Amino acid sequence: MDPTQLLKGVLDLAVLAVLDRADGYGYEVLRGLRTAGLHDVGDASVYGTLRRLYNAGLLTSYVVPSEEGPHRKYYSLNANGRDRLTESTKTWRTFAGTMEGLVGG
Amino acid sequence: MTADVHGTAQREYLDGLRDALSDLPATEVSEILDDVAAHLSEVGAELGTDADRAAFGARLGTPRAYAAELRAAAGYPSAPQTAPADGEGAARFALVALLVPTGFVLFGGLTASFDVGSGLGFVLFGLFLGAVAVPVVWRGGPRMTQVAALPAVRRAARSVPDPYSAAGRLTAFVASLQPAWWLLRAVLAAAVVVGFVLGVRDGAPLLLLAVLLVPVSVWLGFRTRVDRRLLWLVVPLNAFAALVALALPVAFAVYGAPRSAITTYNAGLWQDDRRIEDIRPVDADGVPLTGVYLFDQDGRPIDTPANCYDDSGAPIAEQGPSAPYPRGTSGYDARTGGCVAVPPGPLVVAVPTPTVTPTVTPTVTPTVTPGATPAPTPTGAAPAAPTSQATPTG
Repeated sequence: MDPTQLLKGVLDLAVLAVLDRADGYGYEVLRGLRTAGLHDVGDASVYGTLRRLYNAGLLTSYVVPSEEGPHRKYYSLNANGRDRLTESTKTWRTFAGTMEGLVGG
Repeated sequence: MTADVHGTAQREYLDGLRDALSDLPATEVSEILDDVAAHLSEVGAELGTDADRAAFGARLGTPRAYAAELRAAAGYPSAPQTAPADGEGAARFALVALLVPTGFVLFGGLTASFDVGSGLGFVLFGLFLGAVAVPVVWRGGPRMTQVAALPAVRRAARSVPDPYSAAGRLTAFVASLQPAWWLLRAVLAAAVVVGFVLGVRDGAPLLLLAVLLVPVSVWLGFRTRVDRRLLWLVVPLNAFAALVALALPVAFAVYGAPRSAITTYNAGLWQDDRRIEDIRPVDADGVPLTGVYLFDQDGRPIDTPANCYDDSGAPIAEQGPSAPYPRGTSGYDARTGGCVAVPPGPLVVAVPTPTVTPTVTPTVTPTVTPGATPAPTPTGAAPAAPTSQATPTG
């Protein structure tokens, strides 16, 4: 089974989870996902997801100037984002448990 | 410094991405590009010295594919179907047919300042090249979409500065002057036709032709905004008009200025804006003096030329500079057509009273006074010096 198809559904949760640990700019979020083992996530998908979550009012952003290149836009979870993370985590656990029971059983 | 080294490939990638997202709201696109610019900078740093266009493509996919993936993840609508890329060759030719004749016209105009014949040759050759492209340009339709879609043209269109920046406000101000340019180029065209082609050096025909050409020029200006094909006619002609606009002041400075400069010279002796016709010397008691010669600080005689001119403005009679003062004045006599000498008449002058003089020359007084009366005592203006001089004698 193609992992990218699976990823699409849970990318929101994954990005929210990474940002819950620490604020980060796009590339940091991408590295966070890769480090966690999500190697198949596309760069553009992460940036697109960040934009969508931001436009949905779940993230706030602030700019930090960088000496080496373009300034970096950091994203952080706001209250809405944390609520969404809690909710999505619950849904995910239920779903994962169901799947585990189904596949493992 | 990675951003500088790999700047070109990154900029190209960003440009491609901007094109692929161009249907989205501008603020959204600029937010995305901010993020992606930082991303490209990181990727560029990772790729190191190999970070060229191909390396970015291999790492991230084409800008179009990147944009498609980003659209899908961000929940934007997918890209609208773009027009097929045929006719790009024709569009390139049309663009060249705009730039090269304009270049020839500019070069020809500059050459004409040395050699009119070859300069005109360049201008005509440029216009001939432009004429060859007319069918291609005309087929392109009023908006010239194929030409506008060329990457070079898009890049040029994007290089317009942000309207809220200082550069953007300046650009907007310059753009607002466009109607003034339409008027000016009509006058310049009239000047070229009347002065250069017809060889007439008279203001009236120039003014008449300018009045006729102004509506044409303004119409052409407005029309060009709608029908971009007219740019192929207007841009080379604008270049020519701009050259003429620069050349005319130079021509005036070289040929026109000296004649007008001479006429502003005022002959004679003047105090401020008052012409002095005669000088009436008197002594300290107010008694008129005669037979007086006057010289300036360099020993040159001070002269008051006769104020008597004929109808053409030439002085009729001049007293020799050697004549002593008072000389009397002279006036033009309309009956005889000649000059009449007016001898110096009786004159009452107010001689300055001596009490005023000490304030002007206080240092003179002490040297005269030893033993004598300390008569014209200096006023408070210079108190110290005279008293210290006076004490030894008293």
